[in-house]
Amino acid sequence: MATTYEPIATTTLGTAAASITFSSIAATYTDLRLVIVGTGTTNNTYPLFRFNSDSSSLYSTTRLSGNGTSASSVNNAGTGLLVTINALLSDTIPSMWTLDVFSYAGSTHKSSLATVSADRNGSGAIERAVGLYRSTSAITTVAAVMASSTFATGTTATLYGILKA
Amino acid sequence: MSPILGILASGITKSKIAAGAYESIASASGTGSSGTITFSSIPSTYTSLQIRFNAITSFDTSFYVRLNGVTTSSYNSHLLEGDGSTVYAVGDASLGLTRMSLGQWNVTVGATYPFSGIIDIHDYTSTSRNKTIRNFVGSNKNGTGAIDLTSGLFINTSAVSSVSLIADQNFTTSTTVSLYGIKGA
Repeated sequence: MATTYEPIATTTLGTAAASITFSSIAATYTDLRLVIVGTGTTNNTYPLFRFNSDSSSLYSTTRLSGNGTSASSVNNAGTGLLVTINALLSDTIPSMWTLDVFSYAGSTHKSSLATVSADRNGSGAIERAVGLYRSTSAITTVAAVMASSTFATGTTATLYGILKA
Repeated sequence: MSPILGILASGITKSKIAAGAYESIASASGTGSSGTITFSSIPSTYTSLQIRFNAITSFDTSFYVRLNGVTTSSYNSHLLEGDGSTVYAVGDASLGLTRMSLGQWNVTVGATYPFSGIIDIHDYTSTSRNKTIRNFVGSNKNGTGAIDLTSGLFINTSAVSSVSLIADQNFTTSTTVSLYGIKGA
């Protein structure tokens, strides 16, 4: 049987960047998975995830967070997928962000599942989120856009394609 | 496959990564006339199974998983759920369910917005141990939504050769469900 979990592209930032974008994504796969491991140049920042360079108000999320003391859940609607409540990019300790985008090339609204793992040696948070992008267009571009500040040098991002039989 | 990386940020390098032992076994789409999608005759050549789904149903409904077609009281679960305002921790250990819920309280499959999830079934070929299932599912419906993390137990020591996803309404033709096998070393 075919191996179906394939890296489409990966990047390691050589300089700080306000966004990381994968464009011209072929409709070859069933789902996409984006994995980012990195830091911010400023402490306590976060990225939004956007599709097709669309910054209109078509995004909403439901988030679940644990910060070592309590658990919380919050809805959000905005101009990008906001997948975190408490887990933010540190300027020293890397955190891991994943985003699974389901049926990205299909004609339904686009659903995604996100995770954020951000322990800071004594503090930290873990997050899970479900996201909705209310567009029926195929996704050809996926971007992680910093709400403020920039991703720091050394931040890595990999986009995988997952193909069904 | 041609990499199609387009980086807008500057100072980026790229490289290829070797693919892993994650294989597609089968996939299915909704028919519009059934609320059940079943993968049967699953080979025992993997260590774990993973199911990825993106589901839409004719009406809002609950969503379940069933293994080997077993309809006796063999399923228990614990879940952690957030519905956008409240966090719930719930155990179904005393219920002896006849199918495992993928969204206990507020997560439902809907008619407009997809319900997505990833289900992992570990050590599915064992004939001496019960089976552990991990679910990560959620649905956002533009203003409302819920996300669930579920630890499930199938109290049965038979190897798993059949997995069914069950909704109480029909899956639309936009529904996609894919079964993957993860190899051990």
